[in-house]
Amino acid sequence: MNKILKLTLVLFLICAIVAGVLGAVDMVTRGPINAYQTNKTNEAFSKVMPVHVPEGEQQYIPVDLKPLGLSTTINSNGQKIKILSVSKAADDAGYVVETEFSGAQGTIVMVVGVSNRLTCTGVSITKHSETAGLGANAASAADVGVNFRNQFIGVSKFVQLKKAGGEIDALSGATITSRSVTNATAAAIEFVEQMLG
Amino acid sequence: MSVTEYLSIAIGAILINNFIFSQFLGCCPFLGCSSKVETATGMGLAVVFVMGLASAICYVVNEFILVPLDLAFLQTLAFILVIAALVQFVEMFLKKAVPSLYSALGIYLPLITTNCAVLGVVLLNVQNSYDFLGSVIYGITGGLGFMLAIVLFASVRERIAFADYPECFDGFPICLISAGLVALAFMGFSGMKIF
Amino acid sequence: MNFKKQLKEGVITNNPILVQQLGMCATMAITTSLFNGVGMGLSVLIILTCCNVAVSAIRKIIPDEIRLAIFVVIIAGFVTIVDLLLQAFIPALSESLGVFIPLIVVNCIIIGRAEAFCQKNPIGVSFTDGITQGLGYTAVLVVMCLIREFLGSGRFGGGLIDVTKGITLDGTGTGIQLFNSDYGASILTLPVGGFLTLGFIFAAMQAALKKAAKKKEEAAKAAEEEDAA
Repeated sequence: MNKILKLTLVLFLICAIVAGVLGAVDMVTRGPINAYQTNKTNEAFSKVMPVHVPEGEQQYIPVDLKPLGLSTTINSNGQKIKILSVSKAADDAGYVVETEFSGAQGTIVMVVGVSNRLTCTGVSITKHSETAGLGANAASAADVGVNFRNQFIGVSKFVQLKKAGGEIDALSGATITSRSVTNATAAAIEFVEQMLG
Repeated sequence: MSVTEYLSIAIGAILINNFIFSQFLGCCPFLGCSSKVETATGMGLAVVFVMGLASAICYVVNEFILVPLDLAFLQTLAFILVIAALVQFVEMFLKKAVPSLYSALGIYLPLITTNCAVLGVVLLNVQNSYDFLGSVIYGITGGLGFMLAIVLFASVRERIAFADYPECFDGFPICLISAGLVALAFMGFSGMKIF
Repeated sequence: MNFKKQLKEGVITNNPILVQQLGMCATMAITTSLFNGVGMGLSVLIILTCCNVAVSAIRKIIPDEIRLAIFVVIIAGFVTIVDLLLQAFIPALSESLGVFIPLIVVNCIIIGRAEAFCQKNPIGVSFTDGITQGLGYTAVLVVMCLIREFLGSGRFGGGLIDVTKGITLDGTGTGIQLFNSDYGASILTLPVGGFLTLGFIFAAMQAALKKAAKKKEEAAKAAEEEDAA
């Protein structure tokens, strides 16, 4: 019995020391991690809808969706698109919609800028796990990605791939990713339209 | 979460985002325990069992202990301890209660602790913010996907014995290459939409 | 044991991946760009060295029955520290390696070295063992990355090197495009490519070892014949 007690004590002691050290490291790193996350969201937001307000003021005001009673899942060309959040640009230029949907490999999170005239002002992918060299190009900072995303500027909620008779050129070898990005853009515009009634 | 969402988690875990062929989780036991179909089946069963249980317990630990206490940074540590304890416990339980199953799973049980598919599935549950049922379904079906992969691959490997390949590919390399070819077949599922 | 001998062991004769066949999952999963490969390799090197030193330092006071549990706790501790530091200071790397950083906990290399080497050896040797084994691991990752990147998308040093900015540590570099990526075998950048590339590297290693053994044998034979003559 004595032996078991000793073993437990040793294990507990080591766990406690490790947990303590981790706590200390966490205190140091928590600030930078949070700062990075906020910074990243803001950056993605300002990519799709730049806001001109005096420095230091809040640029995007989150819209509380609950009292609106709208369904946050939009069916767009047969694909389900989840609306995660909507923020209003502080200078009334429009809205930024955060969408979540499945791409070819996994979940994609994308922000879509929607103007007051219900056209898209830009899209930016913040999280994805698409295939490198194919679907991942949709999020890439290289020309191929920028050109793909720029096609969405100015489109309406009826946006479609060229294959379906629309205006968007799909990424080569990544029709599924391209189609889901197109659907999500349409869904974001649709949601803002419903929201504005 | 709706039924269709659970279904798409399940199909996704088994075929589309198969743990081994598209996420590379659990490759060590996959390559180590796949020389015979029977051992592969045993290992697969053990993994399904532990992954399902681990998903359930780790969900509870994370949701009701770590998150309320603001200790999310202890996740990895807590999860690996839960898994290690769980494997030990399952081993003791099976030995007493279902000796036939215990002797079938035999040496594979302790090996599961260091199977990265198990720790992987609980970390992914948190990352994808699945609810309780979703986590358990992802755990079990992820295990089934692992089992499907390892059993299929074991049958392929039994055929390698009759194959004629360059001498320097003997042993491990030819296994990797054939695993790659099986993975290529699984790529056909990528992008498949269920609902 | 001197450093040179340990280095040769870690990188070639007792390489963690190619000879001990440990830690395969991450090797195949993350080697799609040089940035990932170097980042993962160095993370493992740091964690391995810290764990080696820690395990070696307490090797005389831990009870034998629960040593594995203690190793796991120590490893998980160091992995979490590295994970948090990466999230805070090199977030691009942490994002592109994703779940594979916390999964270093179950990377067999680390627990394998703790069990097989550090619990029997003093701190100094364990420290160099961590470095040399880590270098061996990093070397294989880097070779995998170079092959997959070059043949797959015609690039060199994706994420780490940029034509205009030089070396980028934040993962934004686009690499040097050696030929148009449309002509690359993009299968190598897919998961399948991981299996195939590692398979061929293994085969090359086996062929080289066999050749070396044969040469030695022939030399011995020749020496014998000479003796006889």
